[in-house]
Amino acid sequence: MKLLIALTILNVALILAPPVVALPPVNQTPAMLAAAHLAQTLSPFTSLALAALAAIHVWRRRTWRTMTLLAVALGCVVLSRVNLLERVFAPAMDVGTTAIGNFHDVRDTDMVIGVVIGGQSRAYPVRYLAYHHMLNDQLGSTALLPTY
Amino acid sequence: MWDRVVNGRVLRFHLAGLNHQNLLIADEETGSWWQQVTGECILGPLKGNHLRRISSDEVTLASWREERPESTIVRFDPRHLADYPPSDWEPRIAKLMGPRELIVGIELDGASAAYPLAKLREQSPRNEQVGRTPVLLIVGLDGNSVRSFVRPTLDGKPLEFYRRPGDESMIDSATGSAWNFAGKATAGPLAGRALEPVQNTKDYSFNWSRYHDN
Repeated sequence: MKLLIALTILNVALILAPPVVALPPVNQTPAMLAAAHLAQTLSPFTSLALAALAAIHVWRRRTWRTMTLLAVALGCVVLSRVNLLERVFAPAMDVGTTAIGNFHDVRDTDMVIGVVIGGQSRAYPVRYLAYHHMLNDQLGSTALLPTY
Repeated sequence: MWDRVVNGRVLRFHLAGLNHQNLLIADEETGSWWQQVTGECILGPLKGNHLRRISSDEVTLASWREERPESTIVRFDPRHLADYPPSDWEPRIAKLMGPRELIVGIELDGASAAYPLAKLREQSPRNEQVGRTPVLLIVGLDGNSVRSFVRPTLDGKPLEFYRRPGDESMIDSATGSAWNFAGKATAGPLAGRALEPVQNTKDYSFNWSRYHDN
């Protein structure tokens, strides 16, 4: 039981580490970043192991304590597979493009980032990129990543 | 602007973190973490790889539309219309965070240089040198679009460019040919010639100096 509690706390820490380390107020060192990356790599697997262990405890003795720990473990399983940062900072999704002559979402004096590849041109409003930060896009046969 | 292909494989990226106002991004395929500003992979299976930079231009919508009327453009997501920053978001941030110096940065053949935008606006075009390469910087009439080009050598000397009063165009010192904001000679002995573009990036001075000596 003590082991289960300890492992539960460890898993929650593994889940929280990457988004906490990733947030601006934290002064990141390379070691912190490496630890956060490792946490992110491990947590999907450790959380499954934790959930299995918690399930065994519930099966042996169904109490509020064991049930709660199982619930937390299942929470870890879910959260380890969710990009928490993308819940906070909306990623670009379902990207729609239009001919520039028909485009009126931003002013003429607003900035865009423009690219020409293989004879095709595309522009990305800076106001759009400033919000979504980046965009997985495709222009002709080139897969590109505008960022801001 | 980066190419998403690394070692022959297309990667799909997600936000992984914010590191001193620069993004950390992760690829779905390996979970590796990359620095958005340098394109370097710093953690994970692809550590040490670099994304290939794709040339891009930061200009006004009007400029781009005029030069590339056939261009497509990405639309605002209707679900987030209320969330996009307003047109004056940059001056607003300056008010919030205090004055931050904007520079135009160039990286060329291992050398780098940064030019305060305010000074560039006052004196454009600028004939400069980045490392061993003679470079031209020109600011558009809007005051925000900045382009940079390699200054070609004629008779052993790099061309120098001067402003033609009243419009965005320039004249070169050697032949008197007229050049437009897109770096193309429109009149004179060199008419038809196009200058080779050099990638530049607008950045805050404090951020640029974090990653560059110059």
